Amino acid sequence: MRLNCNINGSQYSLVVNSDKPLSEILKEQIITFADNSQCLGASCGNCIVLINGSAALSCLLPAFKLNGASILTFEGFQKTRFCHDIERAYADIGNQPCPQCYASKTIIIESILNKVDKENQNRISNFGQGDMSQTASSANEQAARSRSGMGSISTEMIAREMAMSSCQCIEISDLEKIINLAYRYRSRRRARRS
Amino acid sequence: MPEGLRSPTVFTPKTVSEAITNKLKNQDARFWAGGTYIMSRPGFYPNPNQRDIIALSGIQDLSRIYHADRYLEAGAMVTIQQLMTMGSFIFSKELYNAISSIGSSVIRNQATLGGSLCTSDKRFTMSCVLATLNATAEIRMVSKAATSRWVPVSKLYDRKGNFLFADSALLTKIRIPTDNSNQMQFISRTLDSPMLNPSEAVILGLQYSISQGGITNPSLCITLPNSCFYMSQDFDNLLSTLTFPITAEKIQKVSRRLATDLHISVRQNTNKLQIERAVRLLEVILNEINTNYLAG
Repeated sequence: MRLNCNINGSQYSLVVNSDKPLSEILKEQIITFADNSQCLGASCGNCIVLINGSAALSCLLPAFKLNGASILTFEGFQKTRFCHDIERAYADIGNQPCPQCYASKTIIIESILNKVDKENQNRISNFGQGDMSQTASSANEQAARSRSGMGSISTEMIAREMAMSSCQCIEISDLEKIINLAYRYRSRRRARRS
Repeated sequence: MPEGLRSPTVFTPKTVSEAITNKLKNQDARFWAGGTYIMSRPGFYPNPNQRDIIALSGIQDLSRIYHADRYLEAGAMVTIQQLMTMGSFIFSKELYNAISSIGSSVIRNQATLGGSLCTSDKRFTMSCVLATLNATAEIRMVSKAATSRWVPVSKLYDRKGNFLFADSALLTKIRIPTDNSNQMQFISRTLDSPMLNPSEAVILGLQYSISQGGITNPSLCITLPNSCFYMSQDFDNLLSTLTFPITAEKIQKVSRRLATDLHISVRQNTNKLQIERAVRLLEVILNEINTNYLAG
C-alpha cells in the first residue's frame, strides 16, 4: 500500500506492507532512535513516538492506520522548545534518564505535560462558562495549583505512566520534580507570550 | 517491501453488517480492533502467512457510549481511556481504579474494550473485572442471518482462558451494570504487572454483599494472564456459606479448595507461584472483609 504521512515535519510517500509496524518503517526508511526497541512488540516502551500530538508505541501501530498522520519521533521532538523545557528541568534537578531510555522517558514526560495542560485548560474554560458544580474556593485552589506548576500531577499517576518504560534508572520522586519544573517553565513562557 | 511478503488486504467497513459480509466472503480475514494484542504476538511481522484485515475503526456504531439508569453500554471500539473518562462520573472508586490500573495512557489510548475481551491472553484487568460485575456482551454471529445475542462476559471463555467465539462471531457491545441499589461491594486486586510480567501476575475480582452476618451473592473471578480464567458457581456457593467472624479454619478450607480448582483449571506450563499468589490474595481479601465487618 502507499502510505502518505508527515514524519518530523517532512512529507513522505512510502510503499509499505499494510501490516508493517511503524517502528519497522522508521527503522528502515528513516534512521531513528527506534533502533533501541528490542522487545519485538512486548511493550518495552523504547519506541514511543508522538502521533498527532499524543504518545503511542510505534511497534503497535500498523501502516494502514497511519495514512495522513503526523508523526514526531524523538529526533524531531528534540528540535522543539517543548523538549528544551524538559531538558532544562533535567539539568536543574541534576538527574536525567540513562541513554537507553532517554528518548522514551522524555516523550512520556511530554505526554504527561500535554495531558495536565489539557485538564487545566478544560477546568478553566468550564469555570469561565459558569460550571456551577465547582465552588469558587475549589476553583481558586485548582488555579493556585496550576500556577504553582502542580496541575493534577501525582506520584501515583507518574508511576502508572512510567510503568510503560521498563528501565528503572531514575527515581519516581525525581521524575515528579522534573515534571513539575518543566510544567512551570512552560506555563511561564506561555504567560510571557500572552 | 521484503521479497515474498504479501501485503494483507485491509477492509474498512462502515457498518457491522458490512464487516460480517466481509468476513463471510473472506473467511481467513481477521477482525482488527486496536491491534495491541495482535501486534504484540511474537512473529507478527514479517510473516509470509499474514491474514487479511477487517479494520473495525471505521464503524461509528462500535464507538458509542450510552448511559442508562442501570447500566453503561459501550461499543467494542471504545478505548479503555474513553471508558475511564466516562466512567469517572459513573463508576465506583474501586472499579475506576481497577480499570485505570491497565498500563499507562499510551496503551489505554490504543487498546479497545472489545479487543481486550476477545483475546485469550488476559493482560488487561477488563475481562476479570467485567466478569465479576456480571457484565454482558452482545455477540453478532458471523452468518448470513443477522443473529445476535447477549452473553455474560464470564461465558466468553473456557477455564483455560481461551476465547470461545474467535472467528465465529463479532463482539459489538458491552453492557456494564452501574446500579448499586442492592448494596453490592466490589474489590479488585492485581499482583505484579500483568503487562510486563504476565507469567507471574494475578488479577482477582470479587463482588459480594453482606447480610444476616454472612457473605451473600458472592461472585469471584481470578485470571492468571496467560493461563487461566477461573469463575466457578460451586466456589461462589462455598463463599456464601461463610459467616462472621471468618475464622482461620474457614479461610484455610476455602483457600485449599481454590488451590485444588486452580491446579485443575490452568494450562500446562503455568507457574506454580501464580497459583500460590492467587490463593494468598484471596486469603488476604477475606481477612480484610472480616476485619472491616468486625470493626463495624
